[in-house]
Amino acid sequence: MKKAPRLKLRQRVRLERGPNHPQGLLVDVYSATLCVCNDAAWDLLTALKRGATADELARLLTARYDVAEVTTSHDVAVFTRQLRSMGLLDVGA
Amino acid sequence: MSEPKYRVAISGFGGLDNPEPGTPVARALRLGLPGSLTIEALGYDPWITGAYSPGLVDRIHLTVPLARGDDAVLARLLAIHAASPFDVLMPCLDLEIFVYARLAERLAHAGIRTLLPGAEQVARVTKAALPLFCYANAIATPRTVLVTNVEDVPFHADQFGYPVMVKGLVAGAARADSRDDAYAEAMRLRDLWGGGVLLQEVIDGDEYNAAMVARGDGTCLGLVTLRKLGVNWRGKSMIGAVVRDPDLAHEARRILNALRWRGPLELEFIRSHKDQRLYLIEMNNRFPNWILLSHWAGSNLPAALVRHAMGLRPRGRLRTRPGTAYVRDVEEIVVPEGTVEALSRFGSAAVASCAARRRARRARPRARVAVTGISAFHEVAPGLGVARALRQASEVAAVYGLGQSAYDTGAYRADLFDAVFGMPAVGEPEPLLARIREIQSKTGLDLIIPCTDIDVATFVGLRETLARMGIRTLLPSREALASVDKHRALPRWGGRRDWGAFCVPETVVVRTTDAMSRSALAIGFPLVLKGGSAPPQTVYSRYSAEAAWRRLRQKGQRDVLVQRHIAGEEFAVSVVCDAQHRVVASTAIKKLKQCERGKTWAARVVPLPDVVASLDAMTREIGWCGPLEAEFIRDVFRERLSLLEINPRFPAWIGFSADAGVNLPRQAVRVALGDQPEIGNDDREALFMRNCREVPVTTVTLAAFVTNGMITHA
Repeated sequence: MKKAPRLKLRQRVRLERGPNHPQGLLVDVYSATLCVCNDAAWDLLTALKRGATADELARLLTARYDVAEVTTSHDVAVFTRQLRSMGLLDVGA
Repeated sequence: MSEPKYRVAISGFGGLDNPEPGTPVARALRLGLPGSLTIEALGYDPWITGAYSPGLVDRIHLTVPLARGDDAVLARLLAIHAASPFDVLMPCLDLEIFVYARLAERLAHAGIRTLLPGAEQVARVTKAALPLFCYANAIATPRTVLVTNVEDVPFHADQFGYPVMVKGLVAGAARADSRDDAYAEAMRLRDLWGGGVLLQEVIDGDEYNAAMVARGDGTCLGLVTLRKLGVNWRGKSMIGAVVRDPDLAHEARRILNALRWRGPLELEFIRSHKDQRLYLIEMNNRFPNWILLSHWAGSNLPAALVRHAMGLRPRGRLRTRPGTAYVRDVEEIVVPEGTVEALSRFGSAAVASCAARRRARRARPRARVAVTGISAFHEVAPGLGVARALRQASEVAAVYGLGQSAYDTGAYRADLFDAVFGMPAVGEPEPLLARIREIQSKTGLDLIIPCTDIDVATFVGLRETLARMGIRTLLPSREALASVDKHRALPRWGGRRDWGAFCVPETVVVRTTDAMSRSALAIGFPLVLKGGSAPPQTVYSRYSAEAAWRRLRQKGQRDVLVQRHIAGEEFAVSVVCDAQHRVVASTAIKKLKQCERGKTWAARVVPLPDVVASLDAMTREIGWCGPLEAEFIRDVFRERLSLLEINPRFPAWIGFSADAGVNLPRQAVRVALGDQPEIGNDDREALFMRNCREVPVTTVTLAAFVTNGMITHA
């Protein structure tokens, strides 16, 4: 069976969360693009910083937010497609 | 091996709120060249405010106007070099590049090195030459037309459709949304630079710039690419960040290869939202005024240029750090009048600093003060000067900024504010009060000084509520505020009321085209039209009056003030009134230099006791409490002061009152706390000057304000 590709955020992405910005920020230092993240996006981005497959991400959301896996799989696909279109995601072996 | 001695002459320290590149180039050299560095500043008049920045340049020299010819320019430069030798010349103004490119060989013979293009290359980067250059090299560029006779601008602008960019042949550009706008802007640029103007298609997109130092063989020493994040009313970048954009870098290098340029170069692009394509909109033959960012980003281009010009090996490879950002704010300084006088008389002067003012007798710091109006993004707001003055007040324990957005440039000034808080947009009072309660619970805030006209009106309405919350203010009543509304006070008093030390010129509020025409006939030309935040416009004919009126109406201005034009020097007086409506502290200045928007960028203290006495009578009559500013002009014919405007708050120059010894914001705090004012002596030998100053930030800090509505500096 073919192994699912591992998705990882590129080094140019910085994730920031702190007293001054509890909502979470995605900063693309290459293009000076700034995105505010909700909790679910933050969870996915944190996992993608380490590297994860699409299935792992869907299971993460299902466990945290008690949502059916068919929904979370779809949401993960949309989210990662958006990150790839912004040039922020590496798709590994 | 020891560091060499660097001796550099730089021009371009003026520009006021549209800063010329010389000041940031000098700052970059101070930060990026280790060892011994002397900087000679070159300018055409003494009001190059950037050159007086403490510790920036060693000497200032006046040079001859370029129009006197190459020989005269060279002779003066060599005289400066003989008295204060320098090894590298860095001209930073567009028109100078043509001249110094021609003189490069003769300068080299005298031992002055430059890194400049040849005359042929210079001609290729003129604004008028851009379309042809792009066509010849398959570079995407917006449609651009040179209109040599400005009377033809309306016709050509109509062909483009609106909006359209109107650009000067040397510098300056504005977006025109109508035929009247296009024509007015074309006339303004023609008056500045002569000749025609360029009309350019507007492309909707994000703006990117590339700055580089080119070797002359199609390669560059270094390249820094910027994305403009915040652009002000002039179209100038006030906030920007370094980006790593391979397409942008590739295009910049391709253009450089086609140009075979030598020296500094700036390329301006727009990336279209529609097709993501990069369109080259302008090329500039010198460093841009954001060039200090190159130092913070790890690729100090001015320093690289100097070392290259001196034949020194580079100090490692220039690697640019994306994510480095800057915000352009202002720096206010005090300059001994002797320096400016020496420069005017002798043509050269060493730059001296004013001795630090002795701090006031130590009081217990107890007031935690918040100020509004903390931005220099479009124009300098008074809260910046108020905060600077409060920093010198021993009664003040903490200073907080109340900002509107991440574009408030003062939000990033750790030297001014302990913390800055984002405020809800002006509207319903409840969200504002809720936010103030939140801030109070975090900080112990107990005094607010609103510093814009809108904020004053808002806080006047909330005064009692704030008092119940334990937050003091020093504000007038609603009735007093209404009585100084410029649309009421000036027409009511105009031509009728004489306050003794000053009178009020005839002023009319107009709301229709007919009323505009009748007023013009009654008052006579020239006239001044004022509306909203637009700069006052002086008009000399019925046609120009009607055109100016139409432009103001198109921008949504309902009531327009029409006032007789008075020629003369301008003055301003700022006062603080107590609850008995008495003037308890005042500072009067003569304005020496103003920007296009009428803000004061250089001034001196002058004694105007009669004016202060007349203002005291006025404030008692109208029942004023708190800060107030009155602006005057001294009629050169009648030798009388005429009141031009009343502002219900501190002015933007108020920080100078602290340098001058009076510190009006401090007096306002003392009065609000129930104490007597404590006035020092006026320092009448100090001149106030302001210049722009870039502050390094990170893109993360910019975003923090947006998401959390707060930045903590302390």
